[in-house]
Amino acid sequence: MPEWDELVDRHARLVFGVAYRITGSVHDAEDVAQDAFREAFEQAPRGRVTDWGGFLRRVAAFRAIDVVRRRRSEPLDPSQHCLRPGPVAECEARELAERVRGAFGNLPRQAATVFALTFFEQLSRDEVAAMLSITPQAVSVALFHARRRLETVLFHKPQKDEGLCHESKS
Amino acid sequence: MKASRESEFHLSSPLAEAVHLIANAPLDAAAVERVRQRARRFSESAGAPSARLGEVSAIKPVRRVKAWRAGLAAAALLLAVVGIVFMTGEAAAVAQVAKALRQVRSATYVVTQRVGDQADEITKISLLDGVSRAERPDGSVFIFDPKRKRLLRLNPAAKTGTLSEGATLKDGFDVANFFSDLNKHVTKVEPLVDDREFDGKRAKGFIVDVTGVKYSVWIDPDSSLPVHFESERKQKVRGADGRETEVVVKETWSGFRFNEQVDATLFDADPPTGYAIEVRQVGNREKQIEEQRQRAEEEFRKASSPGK
Repeated sequence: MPEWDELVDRHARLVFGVAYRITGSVHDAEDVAQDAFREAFEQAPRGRVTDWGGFLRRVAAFRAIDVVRRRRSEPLDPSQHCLRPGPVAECEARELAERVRGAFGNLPRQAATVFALTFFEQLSRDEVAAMLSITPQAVSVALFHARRRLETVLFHKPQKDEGLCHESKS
Repeated sequence: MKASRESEFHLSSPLAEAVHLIANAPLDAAAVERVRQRARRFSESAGAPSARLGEVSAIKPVRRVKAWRAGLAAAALLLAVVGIVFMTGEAAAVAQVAKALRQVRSATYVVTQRVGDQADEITKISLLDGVSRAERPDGSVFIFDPKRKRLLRLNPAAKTGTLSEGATLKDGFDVANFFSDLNKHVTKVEPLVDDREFDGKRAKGFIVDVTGVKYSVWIDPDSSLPVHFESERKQKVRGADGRETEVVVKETWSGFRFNEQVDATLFDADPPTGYAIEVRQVGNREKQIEEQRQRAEEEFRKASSPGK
């Protein structure tokens, strides 16, 4: 079992990254990361966790999604935008990313978590399933609903169920 | 970076673009270090600096409460009142520039951006009472009105445009906001840039370090307004073949003119007549979104329940 400091050093960037990508806010991501490490610290004496990276990722994703869901009706603090002085070249892309995060808070919690771990963290369906203790099929279902809902909210183009192309990839 | 999952799961193109941007957003190294330091304190507080995970006791962490939210105004005030008096000249300069810019009613300047070895892209910026206007090299025009939360993009050649309502984009091309952000996030200021002359007037130079990204800034020592500044950062870009490469992005903000007469009609974020305008809702569509969320919850419950 690794020492605490070693575990923190190994996973701090990963935990912060999960939280930051979901919340889009450095401050929120720091709080989420601290929550995740607190949970790890409290779980440690129980000896039940074998994969600390997976545990921390899962907790960080859950907590970050809670933050985004709470934020649903609040506009983002403009001071949290990245300090990139580019004029407008990335304006549209950043606006869309912000809209994705905004819409993200309106997804079912598990669907949002699955989407984040799959697309933001680039994990495979089986990895996500193992991390969340659900079946790969449940990951596909959650992904489908998350994707459809995001596209509906963002682009006002309701998707038909026959677009469930990834279901056959299990 | 691992192979992208977008293609595997067939995200629509704009969503895939946004996901790619989020997935590859650079991380704030200073924030990661703060996370590391705070997490390490859990075991230190338990009196076991090198405790093994199985031996430490559960303790309550020192919660970094949302004090940054509640105390933001107080901190800003403190910075303005105390900081300017006691900070070093260079550190105070950032606050002074931000303060001076808050008094500015109008401004015009040019932002030049070079990505890798590509040609310079020059954007002309003008500001009036908080509304900003950007004229891009391709002829397109952006007008952003933060009070009305409107971002109007116009393509004069095609007579088309997009109006984003509820837009909260604040950074990007407003120099006042840029320095306000610099002031909030600055980690170090160094007087390392030589003073220079711009348009025959001497300007004081310094380097502002914001979590590892350095900005070389020259200001008018009399007015504290910016005269010229430059930044350089590395950024990943995806080529036409889908491959990512890291390029150096250089930006220069120059040609500042403040409080000169500008044409107020150029800052109207209402769609002009004769244009085909697509209207997008960016902000709170709470009721509609909540209904969609509830439907999604219900659909997910049905789809996930055994024996469906």
